[in-house]
Amino acid sequence: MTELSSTTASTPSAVPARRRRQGLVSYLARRSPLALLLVSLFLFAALFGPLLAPHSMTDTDLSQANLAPNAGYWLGTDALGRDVLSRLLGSAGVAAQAMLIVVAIGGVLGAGLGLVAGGLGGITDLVVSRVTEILQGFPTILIAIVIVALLSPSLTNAMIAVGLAAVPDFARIARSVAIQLRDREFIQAARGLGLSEIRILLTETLPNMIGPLIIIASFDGAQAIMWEAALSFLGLGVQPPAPSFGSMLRDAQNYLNINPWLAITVGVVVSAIILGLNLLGDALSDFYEMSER
Amino acid sequence: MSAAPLVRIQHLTKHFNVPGSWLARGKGKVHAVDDVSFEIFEGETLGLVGESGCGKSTLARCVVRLVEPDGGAVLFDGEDITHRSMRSLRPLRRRLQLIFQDPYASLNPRHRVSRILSAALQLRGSGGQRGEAMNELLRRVGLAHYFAESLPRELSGGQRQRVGIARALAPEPRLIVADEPVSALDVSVRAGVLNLLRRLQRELRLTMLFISHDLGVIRHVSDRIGVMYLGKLVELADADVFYDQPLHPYSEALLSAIPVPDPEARATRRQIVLKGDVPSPIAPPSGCRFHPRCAFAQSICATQEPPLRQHLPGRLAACHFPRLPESRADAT
Repeated sequence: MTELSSTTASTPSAVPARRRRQGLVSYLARRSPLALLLVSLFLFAALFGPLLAPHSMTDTDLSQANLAPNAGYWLGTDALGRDVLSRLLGSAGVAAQAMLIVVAIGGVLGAGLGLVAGGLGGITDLVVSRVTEILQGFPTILIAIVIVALLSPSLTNAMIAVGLAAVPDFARIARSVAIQLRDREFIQAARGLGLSEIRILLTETLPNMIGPLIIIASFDGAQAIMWEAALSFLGLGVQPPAPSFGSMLRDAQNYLNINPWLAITVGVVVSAIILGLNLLGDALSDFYEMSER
Repeated sequence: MSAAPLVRIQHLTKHFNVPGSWLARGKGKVHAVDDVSFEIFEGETLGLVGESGCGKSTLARCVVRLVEPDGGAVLFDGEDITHRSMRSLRPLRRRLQLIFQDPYASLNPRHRVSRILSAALQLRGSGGQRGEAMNELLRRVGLAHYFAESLPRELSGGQRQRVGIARALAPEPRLIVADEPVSALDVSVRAGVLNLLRRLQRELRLTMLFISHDLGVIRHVSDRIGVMYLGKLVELADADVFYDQPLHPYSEALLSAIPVPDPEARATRRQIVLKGDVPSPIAPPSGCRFHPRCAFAQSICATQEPPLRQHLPGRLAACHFPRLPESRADAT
């Protein structure tokens, strides 16, 4: 056994060349400024909507009905003389709530189920996967109608239904990431240190699936806003006179030829929010892909 | 070096089912490790070499019981750990640690070095002094204390592997299994990590099972050398005699493949080029697994499997016609 001659054998004293990761926000600003703009506008409106609204969201004034956009009412008024801009600001808050409920229910349940299924494998995986597949087999709208019929029509109930329908999406992603990670050496190393499987799942596996979960959350969040609009349109979600994108669209359809502004403004706003969230999801998935390497 | 074996591997066997449709199940098995027996004594380093795919890593994972063997036994300090459950192994984990091959895969990318090491330090039990113990560990593996706050991605390959070594050392294990600890590293960094392992060996009187495909690397750290071929242990000998006079024709061929930097010495050396590829471990050859590629094979080699037995004092080989000094003289 001979000592190898080497310059690197001594203690490396130089400060390491740190590969600093680029910040998320600055990455998004460069990669997809439109997404950042649309989503931050949406969140701003959702948080501060009631403070920003120039008029009441629910007070009717028939003398001011069906106005086109003008100086007093920037986006016009609806058939009952309510200010469209104010109602849109209120709807943004409703949409944000819808998103939050769906992502919370779908994310927590779905990620938990997927983590356990993928991380433990075997019979657990089999049972959990079949259950989520069955859940996936029901159309979202059917689950929503059943839950709303059993309970009562309200935003929360409608969104609980949509959240349940989102569980399989999260579960599928969490499971596949957990399976990929299961045989990675750092998981084996944790096993070699005698950590319990549950602890490995929570401290080793879970932190490594946050990225993919956030991506799914942004897509399912967009879906949630669409479902909220659809269910409120059908009268199963937010109840009048409270504003929401869906109920505004339903009101608008009766006046399409008298006051097309109504449908146009609401449609454009909803489309812009969905577009923003989807672009954000794409940008996030690129960001995590990049930072994984 | 005391005489008590710390680890005793007896007829260890591990097969993997070949994935396929359920109709074809049970048709094929990869004989990753097949009836391997050896011992590791307290304080020594046993080097295990072989081509990739010969079952070295599977053997390593069986020894630290990350994988459950199909047959045979692993005795650690006299205790049979072959089939113990993951849970009941926990108290033993402290004594058995593994250094992984790929330092890019073996550290959790989301955990700082301090967190990685403190998870390992926990095995020592008693809290207190953990910060101090961590600094001590980092110093031991040649890293400055501020690396504790680094994320793996901020470290170079060599630095990561030092963290991997620190993690293995943290619980003060009695046996360290090093699974190709330097083969994923740049050549320039390799020497540094190898010297670190050697220094630790001396300072901490470690018992090590050191696995590599590189005979040059293994020479620097091992007291004894084992050679594996297709899941079998074909030779086991003291390091100093092994490099001069391997007994098994396969070992001889492996040794002759080490590049010699001196052109004159190269001219005088006989190089043995093995013909053909390593046969499939799904259907290993009959008799001696090496016989289709062996220059000295005779009819018996195809029918009878040679047992691993002692041909010269302290030198075991599984061969019907070992390359003993007298036979070597005949051949040349």
